[in-house]
Amino acid sequence: MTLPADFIVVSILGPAIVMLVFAMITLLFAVFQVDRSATASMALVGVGTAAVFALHLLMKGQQGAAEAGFGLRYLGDTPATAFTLVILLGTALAILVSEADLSRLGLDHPEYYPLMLLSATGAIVLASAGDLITLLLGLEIMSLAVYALAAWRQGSRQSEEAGMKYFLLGAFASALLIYGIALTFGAGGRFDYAGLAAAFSAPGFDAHVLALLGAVLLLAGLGFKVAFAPFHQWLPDVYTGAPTPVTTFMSVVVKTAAFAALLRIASTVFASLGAGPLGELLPIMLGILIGATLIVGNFGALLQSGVKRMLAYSAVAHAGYLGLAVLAADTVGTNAAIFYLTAYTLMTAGAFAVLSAITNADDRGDEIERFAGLAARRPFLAASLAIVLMSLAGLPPFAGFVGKLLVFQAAISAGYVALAVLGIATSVVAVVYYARVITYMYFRESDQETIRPLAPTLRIAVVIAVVGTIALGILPGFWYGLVERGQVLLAGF
Amino acid sequence: MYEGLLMMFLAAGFIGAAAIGVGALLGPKRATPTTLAAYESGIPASGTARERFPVHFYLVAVLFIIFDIETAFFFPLAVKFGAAPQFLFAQAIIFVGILAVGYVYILRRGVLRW
Amino acid sequence: MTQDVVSWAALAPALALLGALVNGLLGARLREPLPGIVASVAVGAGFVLSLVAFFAFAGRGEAVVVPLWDYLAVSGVELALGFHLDQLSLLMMLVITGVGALIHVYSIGYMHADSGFARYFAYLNLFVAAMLVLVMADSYLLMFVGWEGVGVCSYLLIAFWFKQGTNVDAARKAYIVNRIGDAGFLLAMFLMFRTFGTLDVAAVNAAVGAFAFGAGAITAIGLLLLVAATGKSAQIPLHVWLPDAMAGPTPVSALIHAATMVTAGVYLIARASPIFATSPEASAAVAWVGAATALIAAFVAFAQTDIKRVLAYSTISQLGFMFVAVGVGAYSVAVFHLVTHAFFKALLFLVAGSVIHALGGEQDVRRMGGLGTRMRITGTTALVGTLAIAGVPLLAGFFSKDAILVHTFSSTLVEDYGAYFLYAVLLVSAVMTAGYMFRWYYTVFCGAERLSKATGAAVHESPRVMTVPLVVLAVGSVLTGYLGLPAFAFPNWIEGWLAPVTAAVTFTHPALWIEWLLLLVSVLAAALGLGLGYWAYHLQKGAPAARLGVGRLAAFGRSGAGFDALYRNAVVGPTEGTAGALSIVDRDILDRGMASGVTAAGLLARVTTLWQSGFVRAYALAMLCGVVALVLVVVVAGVRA
Repeated sequence: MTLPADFIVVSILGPAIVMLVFAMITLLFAVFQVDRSATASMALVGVGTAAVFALHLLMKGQQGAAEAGFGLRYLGDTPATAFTLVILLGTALAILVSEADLSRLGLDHPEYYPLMLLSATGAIVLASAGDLITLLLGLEIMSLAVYALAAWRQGSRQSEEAGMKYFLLGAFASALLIYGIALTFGAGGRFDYAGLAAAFSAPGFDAHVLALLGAVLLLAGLGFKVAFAPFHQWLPDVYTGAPTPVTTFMSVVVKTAAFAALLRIASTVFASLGAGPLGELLPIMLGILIGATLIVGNFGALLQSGVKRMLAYSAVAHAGYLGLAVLAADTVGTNAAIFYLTAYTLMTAGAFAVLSAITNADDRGDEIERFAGLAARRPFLAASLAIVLMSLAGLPPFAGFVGKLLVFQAAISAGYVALAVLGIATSVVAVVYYARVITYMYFRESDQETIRPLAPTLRIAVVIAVVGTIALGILPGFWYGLVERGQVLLAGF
Repeated sequence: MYEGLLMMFLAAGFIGAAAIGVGALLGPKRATPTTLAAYESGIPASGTARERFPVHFYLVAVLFIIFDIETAFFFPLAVKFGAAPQFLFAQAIIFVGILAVGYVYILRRGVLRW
Repeated sequence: MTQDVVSWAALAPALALLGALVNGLLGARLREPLPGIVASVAVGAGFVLSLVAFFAFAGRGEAVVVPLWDYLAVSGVELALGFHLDQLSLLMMLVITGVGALIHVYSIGYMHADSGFARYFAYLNLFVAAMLVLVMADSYLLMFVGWEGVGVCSYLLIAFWFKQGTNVDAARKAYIVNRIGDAGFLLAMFLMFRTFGTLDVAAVNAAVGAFAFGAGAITAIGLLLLVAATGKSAQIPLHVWLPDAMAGPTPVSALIHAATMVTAGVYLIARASPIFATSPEASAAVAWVGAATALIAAFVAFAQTDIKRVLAYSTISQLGFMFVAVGVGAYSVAVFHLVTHAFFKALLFLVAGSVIHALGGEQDVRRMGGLGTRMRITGTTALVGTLAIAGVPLLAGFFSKDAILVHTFSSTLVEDYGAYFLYAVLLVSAVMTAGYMFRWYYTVFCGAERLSKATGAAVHESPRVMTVPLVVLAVGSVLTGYLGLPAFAFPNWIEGWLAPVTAAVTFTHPALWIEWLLLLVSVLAAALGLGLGYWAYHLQKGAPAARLGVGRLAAFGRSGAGFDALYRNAVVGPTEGTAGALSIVDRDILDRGMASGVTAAGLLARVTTLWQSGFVRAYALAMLCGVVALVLVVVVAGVRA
């Protein structure tokens, strides 16, 4: 058997391979007990190198020459590379946050950075997947490393419980996903999205119920990773229990990758099912999940007295907003989601970075009272947190506002007005819990001990997050333009 | 289309049952304590098998699987090697490279030290 | 060249922002009164730029657009940011920077020796910048940025003296109620984008022409804009935040909660006037919201005893007048009243600030009285402001309020929606306005002194830096009225000035004698209100008020017509799930009720976290239930199909 001449295109594998290689290098560093900060630097170099490869691919997509290969089972088009860049950004921020805190938090084991890079590799594969098998591979590579990272604080019940919970439920979700893959394969006879979409919309296709069953199981499996209600319950516990740097990584990288995969499937496989009989079911079910997610996330966050747990519920709420883009299931929705996730990565990483500068060594002490009078004691931290929280709440002129604008616009233009209205209504609720923290920082007297000095890498992470949040809010057109002008390989089904 | 599979299952069941059945029917029976004891590679059994093992056993077992399964991955590679020789060769090298790093890692971390 | 002069006004918000940055970053190192001077100069320079632009613009028709930068391109539609300088925005800029500069100067005296002196001026400048962006925006997108910006600044300034916990709660309440309005703004924006494919104000206004009179989409946009305006302009039922917002420093109340920010809703509707002129339903809704607010707030103002809360309800009531004006289609009249109101209400608030300053923080009018002789300038300017708002002829409030009454009477746009009833409601409100303002003035400045000995001895006229702005505003409270003399007999400048930028709505032109009669009725309303006040509070020494004061009606009035209680009760009943969002405005509900789960929002929050047991098996079960539900839906649907 011979393959088509242009089947193998190594360049689209570039970012993932670079990350893998650097994961191996940092692992060797760990083995030969190289200084940890050198390991962190090497990890950052790896992220940077991978970003160069991804940027190269992004530029090719700009010129309408996105590289295609492997029969569209692994994609290097604009959404894939844009998501890769967001993943790399999130990884870099997580590394910076980690480096500031690892030794203080007692997490200083040499396998930390290799695992993080491996997980990011999996995330990139997941975001670039054009095939259900590639998807599964990426998902598992990403998840296995994160399971270990979540339990990183040995001897801490909270952390170990977080890792165990995440692993058990994650395994359950993987089982659902694999079952979904099997059923989808059974219905369509293919694994690749392009082939599936073609098979499902082909005249004479009659296995709609089977395909839909596969689709809902895929939705459930990925819904677990992105934390759609009712598959979200692990998230508050795991986010709270895991060490803060790991939470940072999970909340930005894992979420981005999972949404990238979900968006791709939604706009190809799901969309092709939508035209057939019972096709209206899938958007309705997805809509119900998203509505539930918006309500659960926003109202759940209201109750929390710990800022870390509040941010965890807010992560659920943001999954709901991103879900609106998934529901749109078209290029507009995907572009909106890319922008939203970029903004979300910056602001969430910023919030967790500030949080990790304030909390105790064992990650306790995130009660809201601890933030009282922060503005007077640490104006830089307070202002940074205020900005990222306002952005998370969707206030102009910050990035979160533009992101919300885009996803609502995508949902409305796709005809989901009611859900967009629900989204806007719940974002009123969201202001309450974000403003609460700001109120404490600015309008409460401090009765807290002084806070330790800010580690330099943490300061860098905070500055990147805040500057990015503001820049994306004031000049969103640059990044969004890059994304929108790009080429999409799997559209048009 | 599944008749062949069914036949195979039947044949397997028959062979298993036949081996035990024929042995039971034709073999000599001598009931001494030694012949009734569980076979443990010739070493006298001590205690029950249902007790807690040191976690190290699992670690070694997992490592064994990882380094054992590697050969399984080479079979499809070998079958399709002609389709894209350079690419698949590079792939195999990367694969072995990752394994090598892993090997160095477990060696240096003292996983194999008992 | 003239083009350039006008476009220089685009620098005004940048100057204010610069002032905010200087005060925010270096403020701690600047010695008092330097931050105040920096802030005042920043706003004053904006005023000069606006003034130059205003005169340079006179006689021109085309708006000057100052492009900023391309913001986004969504679905092939370019969203660019820019400033739109035309008759309306230049007039608004003059009010904002002019009144704003005076209030900045006044604040230098008022905030003297406050530990947050620089912080105060940083917030105040930031507010001016956001407010300017709001009125100068050439698209609803940028307008929303300003709209949110002023909300944030208002929040920061209400909570300025945060050591009193209630102030922070007031700020939070204000902000969250405003967010409800903002949700309306956002929805209106999305609907506009869907309907017109653009968010550019001018383009939207031009595109409305293609729609039939009373088209559904236009009405929907209008009603959503009304929700937004209702929140920002403190109209019923979203007015509950404004009385509490008086917790902020008094100059803030004057600038934000009287002269500028709260009028943003009126500005928004005037800006979008073609939308409202095309939809009588939306216009009628605006007018009736305004009329109800004007009446109820005027009623409540009688029962208030806090020197600032009286003015706050008065502001709500006057904004109701403006809403009626935009509702009946008299957009230039609404803006006219907005301008005159900015002067006399800012004046009244600053007077109140001067009194509070002199009395060392006393705000209860029952412990004032007779201050007119002790504080000559404050007392005199207060009288001017009172007469202006009461609608005494030849002062500003008379002309603008009379114009609203006349246009309501002769409206054709809302003819089918009870224009005459609107007129009657407004007339009653006008009488009440004169009445409660007389009460306010009389109890503070006339009659016997009811001060405690200690504060009485310390009473003094405020320093020059505070009284000069009072005098300037008092002059403005007289003169601005002459911008819009009754059009049937006199030259009316403002109508002609704003005609190119507001939708043309026809009004019936009653006979000349009817016009004069209406004018006379307006005069009589003011006279009646003041006369009743004189009778009740001077001749009868407040006896009628005391007799009424024990009744349930008065208690009802004191409680702000029961709106706060209404929200609390409506939301405490767990059945009222939809009202949940409002409950959050209440401290009890947020901090205590939420935890105990007695409120609707609290209950919802409880329910959403009920299953958060911490057990993996429970989580797995929930996931399983979710999957089974999804699968069942597919299977059932598949079987039935």
